[in-house]
Amino acid sequence: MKITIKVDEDLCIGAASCVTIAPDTFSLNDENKADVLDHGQAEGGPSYKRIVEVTDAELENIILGAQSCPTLAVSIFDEDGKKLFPED
Amino acid sequence: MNYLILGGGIAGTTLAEELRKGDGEASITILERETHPLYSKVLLMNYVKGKVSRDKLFLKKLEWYSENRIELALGVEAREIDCKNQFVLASDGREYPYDKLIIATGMQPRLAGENIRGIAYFRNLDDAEELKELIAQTLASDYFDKNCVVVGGGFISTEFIDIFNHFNLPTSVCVRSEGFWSKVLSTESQLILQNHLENAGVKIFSKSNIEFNEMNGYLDSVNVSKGVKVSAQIAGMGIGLVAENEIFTKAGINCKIGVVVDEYMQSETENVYAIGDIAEYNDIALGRKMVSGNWLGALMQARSVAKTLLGEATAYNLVTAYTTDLLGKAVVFIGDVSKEHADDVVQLNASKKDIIEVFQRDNKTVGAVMIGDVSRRQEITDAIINKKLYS
Repeated sequence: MKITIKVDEDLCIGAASCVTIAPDTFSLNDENKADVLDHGQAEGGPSYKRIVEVTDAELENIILGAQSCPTLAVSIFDEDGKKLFPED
Repeated sequence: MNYLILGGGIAGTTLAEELRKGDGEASITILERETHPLYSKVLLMNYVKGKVSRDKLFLKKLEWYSENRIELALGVEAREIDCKNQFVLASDGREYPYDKLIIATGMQPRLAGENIRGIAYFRNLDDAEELKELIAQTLASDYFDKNCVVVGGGFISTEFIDIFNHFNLPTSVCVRSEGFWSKVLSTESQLILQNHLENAGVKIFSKSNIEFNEMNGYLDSVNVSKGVKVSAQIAGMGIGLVAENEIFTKAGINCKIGVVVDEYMQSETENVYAIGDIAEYNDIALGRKMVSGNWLGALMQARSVAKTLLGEATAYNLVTAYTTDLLGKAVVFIGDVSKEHADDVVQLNASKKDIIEVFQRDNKTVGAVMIGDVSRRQEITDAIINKKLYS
């Protein structure tokens, strides 16, 4: 399934819990904030938002990464735009 | 299996969550002295600044605990621990038996010892609410100066500075030593931070032994040194942390700075573990006993001890970092940044605005401080993980 992963750079403090849990999806950039990757790749250059094709297991781990963020800077949306995390 | 977790912060709650995932039948109980389910202390700064609403602070709702059959006893703390018969006598009068006891009670701030309205701490959500109120009162008051003082030169102080700056409240910082993080930073690093703050209008008083002056029970001013008095309506206290170890030592659990555990977070007392800020653990990544106080460390220690408790012995092995922002100046501490425990501290890339200091021990890099330019964070972290010398 396709999901949209978004990091709010205003909230991100570089705690790197998302990077630790889901290193194929998040990496720290030079600004000490989390970029979003697609299976380890940053096609088109670094970005705080990406649409990524994932399996159920991959989605579970990415959501774990998002849940681990102390500032809830990571949002996940399904392909219809419905927010999977965090709950509104 | 009966798991009893003391402390419902990120470490304790993550542990409960992982235990439930691995064991659908176990009894899991959390004793939490605060009256809230898990919330993010890291987000409190944004809450005080009005950038995040209160409901967004909570990482778990009460329903989550009941849905996962995790008993959450709020407003309850341990009073006595009987390690021989394996139960805890709690403040609610109940005896909580355990098969495995996991201590996740965190650290507490050192207190000023004065009870004056205006002296503020930043431990938890209740403190955040009081700080919001103090700030609102100060802004609305007739005081001409509306000054704030920050006492201490560590991470909590940077949060107070950021908050007061957000509300345009004139701020003075009093540190007992030469400058910020005196056990970690070189004079050059401290100077970069000092200059940066002074350029932003923040006054710094170093080698300061403060005294509070009150008027009608309210903070009025602070003597920052002999003959120097600063008007102050709020004093934000960031003067260090202490572990409330007495209850554990009384129970025969070995404690030094925190509860002493090995790399599996297991104490010398059978069936007793410790995770999070209170754990003084054998850090196999850095090569000595460490106490770690950051979010990622607490969370990952909980995950590794959960695996151990569920039968898959897993050592905690991670290099983590503390990060903060001092009015736009990034500050990152990676790994072991104790000057006392370093053979050598080498400055790289030093300028008037940025600096990197790497901490070497036994011919390996074990830690680093980065101020300003933090672009090398990952490569330095990788060098520490791989036990190499970074230069």
